[in-house]
Amino acid sequence: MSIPIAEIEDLHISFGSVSAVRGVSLSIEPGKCVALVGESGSGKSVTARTLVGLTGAGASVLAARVALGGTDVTRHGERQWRSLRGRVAGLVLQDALVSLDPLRTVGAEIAEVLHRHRVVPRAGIRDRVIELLSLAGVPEPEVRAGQYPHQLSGGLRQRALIASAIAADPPLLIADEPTTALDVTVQAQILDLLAERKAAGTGLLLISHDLAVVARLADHIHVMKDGVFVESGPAQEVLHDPQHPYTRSLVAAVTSLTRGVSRSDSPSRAGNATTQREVVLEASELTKRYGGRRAVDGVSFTLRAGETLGLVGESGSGKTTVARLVLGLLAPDTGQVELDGQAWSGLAERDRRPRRQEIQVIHQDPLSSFDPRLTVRRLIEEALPVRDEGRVAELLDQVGLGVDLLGRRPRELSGGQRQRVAIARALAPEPRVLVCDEPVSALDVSIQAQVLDLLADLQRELGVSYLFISHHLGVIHHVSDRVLVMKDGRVIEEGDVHQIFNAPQAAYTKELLAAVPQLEDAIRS
Amino acid sequence: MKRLALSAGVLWGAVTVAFIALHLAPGKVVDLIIGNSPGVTPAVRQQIIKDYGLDRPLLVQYVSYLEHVLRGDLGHSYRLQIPVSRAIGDALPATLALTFTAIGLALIFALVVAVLTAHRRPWLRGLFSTAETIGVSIPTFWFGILLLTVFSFTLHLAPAAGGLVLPAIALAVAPAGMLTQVLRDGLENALDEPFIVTARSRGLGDFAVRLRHGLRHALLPAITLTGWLIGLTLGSAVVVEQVFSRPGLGQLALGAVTGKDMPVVMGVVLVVALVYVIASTVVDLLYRVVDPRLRTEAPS
Amino acid sequence: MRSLRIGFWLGVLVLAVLVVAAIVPGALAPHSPDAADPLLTLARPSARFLFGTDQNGRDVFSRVVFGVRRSLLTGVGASALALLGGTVLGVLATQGGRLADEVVTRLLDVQMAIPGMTLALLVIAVTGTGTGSVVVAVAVITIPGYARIVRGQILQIRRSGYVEAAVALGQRPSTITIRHVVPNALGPVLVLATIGVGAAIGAGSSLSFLGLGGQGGAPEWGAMLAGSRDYFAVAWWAAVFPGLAITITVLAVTVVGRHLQKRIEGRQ
Repeated sequence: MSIPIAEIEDLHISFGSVSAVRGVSLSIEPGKCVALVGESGSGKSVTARTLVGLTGAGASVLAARVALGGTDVTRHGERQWRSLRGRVAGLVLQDALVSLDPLRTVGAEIAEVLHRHRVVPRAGIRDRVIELLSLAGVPEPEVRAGQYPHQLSGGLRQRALIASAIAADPPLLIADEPTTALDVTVQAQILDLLAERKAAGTGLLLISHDLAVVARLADHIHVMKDGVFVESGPAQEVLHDPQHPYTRSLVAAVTSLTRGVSRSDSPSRAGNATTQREVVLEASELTKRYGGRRAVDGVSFTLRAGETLGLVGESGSGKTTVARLVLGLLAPDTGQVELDGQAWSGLAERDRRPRRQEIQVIHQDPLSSFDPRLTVRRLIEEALPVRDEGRVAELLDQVGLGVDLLGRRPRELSGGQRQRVAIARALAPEPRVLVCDEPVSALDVSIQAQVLDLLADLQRELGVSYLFISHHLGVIHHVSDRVLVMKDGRVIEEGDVHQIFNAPQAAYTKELLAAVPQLEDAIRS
Repeated sequence: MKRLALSAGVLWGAVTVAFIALHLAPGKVVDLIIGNSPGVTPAVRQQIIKDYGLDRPLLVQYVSYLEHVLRGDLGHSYRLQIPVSRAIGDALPATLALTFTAIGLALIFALVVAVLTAHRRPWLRGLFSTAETIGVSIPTFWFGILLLTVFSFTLHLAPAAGGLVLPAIALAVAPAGMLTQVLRDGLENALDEPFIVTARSRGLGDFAVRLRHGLRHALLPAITLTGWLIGLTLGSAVVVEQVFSRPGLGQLALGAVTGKDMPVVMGVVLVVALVYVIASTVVDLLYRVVDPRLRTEAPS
Repeated sequence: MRSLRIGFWLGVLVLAVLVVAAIVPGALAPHSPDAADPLLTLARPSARFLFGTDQNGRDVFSRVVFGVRRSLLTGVGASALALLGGTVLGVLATQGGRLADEVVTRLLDVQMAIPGMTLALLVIAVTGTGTGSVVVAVAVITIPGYARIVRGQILQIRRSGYVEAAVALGQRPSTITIRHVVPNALGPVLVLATIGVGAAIGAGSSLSFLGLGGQGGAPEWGAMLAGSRDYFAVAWWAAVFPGLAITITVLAVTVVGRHLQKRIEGRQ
């Protein structure tokens, strides 16, 4: 057993009177990956940041021991911390578009570490920057070094950020949600890069809300909730045999969202009875250009009564544009949408207006879709054809909210509550079709599962059809009867959910599925 | 190119506004051109009507006015008995010196104070923030009077008339207050960004982070504001020049307004617009230098 | 945050006193603003003359109190006028199609190029000197600020998710305007107008100081300062107190306005 490169013993962190972390301990050895898993606000980020002395303004930190490379740093002042940061521990944050200075070239950002810690002589800095970029898997490093973050794709940016974090060859690398902002295929590449560093002997502290991401790299897992480690142990044990109820719920939420459990596996939905039902929405050959680019290019599909059509694709694939075309908020350049067998996209807004209640929408960010001045009561009332106090209460009840929220404004609600209010409002006019545009992407995993279950229950009760848009394959697999895979504005593959996930035909679909971090795979290996 | 067309458009607009103002003013246009100048004979009056084509249709007059302005001919001040361009040429340097000294002082003050107080102890920040609000609220002319009373009349440290330092300080107070607020807001927003955490995780000190990473971001809104402030300060110079009995564009304009010397008023308006357009072009270029996102394309 | 609240209530207190002074100046002023005592010119501040007397032997304190009404009316009048003009332009730009928007935007650009005092001088060159002219001049130079924010607010709200949600619910454009656009745009615009009153009082007093506010001996802060110009060296009080009155008034309005602004931003 080698000497740990980082140790924390009995750490307490509080902001003013609010206690954020209470008594956590961990230890990281060279070439090993320790993961902190938890939802937003669980205290995982501040815990990690104490290892670089960047807990944040106004934080009071108390610990029995914090040590880096065997040296106790508990009593270090700012000056001593500065000499350690970058040299002993590197930090990689979520989105390199905002985690690298947008006004400086990526080369300058990497060089800053080399300057600061005099890693190489001044004359050698340029060469070293290029060497680091290629080490991080950035092609054409000479060109990239002179470019700005916004000129690079999300994956390249993240590689550049990692290059700057490992510039001074620190024995410890802290990665805080390093792949959260990335598309799934890119996510897999970045995880591979981190695995390379681990294999090279770097100790890795990985912070993530996503158990599936963590499963790919972690040797040891700490599950964090409300500032304490509710469960800690070797990765295999925690994933395979979770002891704490919270860990179990996380594992359950993730496994149900990845391969294995599809809602249509349940007996009541078996047999694909939906194919005989009437068509409520039909899109044919939809095309929409922005500038010179075809955002949507010849997209056709049908949606039948009471079924869920999943629309999956990475960012920029055109799925949100499809949603706006279907909703009649955007007119297609060519092609058309029919609603209930009647013309829809071609109508003048005046003629469309009376029929708008037939198709409703919920968004990823419900907050921006609420007038900030209105209370929950007014928000839902506005969506009702006639004012009806009883109906407002009934709708709230349907989405699992109490009438005590009637007087609240959107900002005074939690993320999950907001999405439930959005669903209540969308259902108020009794639509036949509900367009769900990334409805759970902004929510914590446990809340995601609840909202998805709610949507499923509502569909069973009301027979409403869903056009369900998501970048998350697990979510799509979980909710859909049929699936459309989109890329660059086109439909790459279409089919029954089992067929798409178990026997994909298109190369792109296979690539997508292979990139998804699989909890089961990690457990099996 | 588009930028140049817009600038030309703005100048053309200013000329048009001046022309409309001349014809909107009550009284005969010829009297406005002569101004309150004694000893203009009826013969001279007839000559002016002919020269300016005041007996011709408005549109013709407008085109002819545009033509004159394009040639640099801003008309004649009968009150001062010299061409308007010469009157302005004599007065402009003093006012420009005053304006740019004031803007320079304001920028230096704002940079220093913003870098030193952004995200610092609440009392320090509060103290300067209060001072800035007061600075923005104090009437420029009154602050000038106070400076004059203290430094010239009481301490006898500065000349009561003609000097550059006191008027420039008086003129700098309001711009300094606005610039400091914008710079500090920008700096504080930048310091809250994730890339600052990244920079600090490389071992950079607080001051280095502020200067190398924060300040460039804070400069962006401040640059835009400065362009606008140059024009504003040029106009405000009139009150300061009045307080400190300092000759310049303001004094010239004020005399022209009270003496109904319209050609001079119009000339001053055009010159201020020209300075503004030049300043805002420079500002635009600077902005592109500081922000690479405007120079370079994102990946497709 | 606490010091901010103290500032806010101090500002409200100052404004309350100013409103009283504007309505019943006689209740606060010990002397008539025009009572001149030739034997007591430029008297130092004392129990009898709190702020001393001016070059004509008039009580500076009473003149400051009687000057409140004119200053407030100038500020409020000019702001109301500018708010009206700015709203018309802003609504025109957003409702009148692409051409109207282009014309209004260019017009505002031209106005930016002739900023502040320069434009005020041009306006007064056209309208002649006088209190009315000062109000109009101050309104004209502040109109673009209102026009920009009205235009910006309307565009921002129109692009917002909640207007899209209202469209998706099938609400009519007129309903959307009345229920969502106007109420949400109103707050920031009114707050700007509040802060604008302070700036307008400052600008108005500057123009009066330059002697453009009309003649006559009616008490006006800027004009009082202009009148005492030649006596600064010997009678500081004639210069200090009217200026202090302007500063405190502008400050109070600004502090209260900004506090309201922060509250509105916090809500949105």
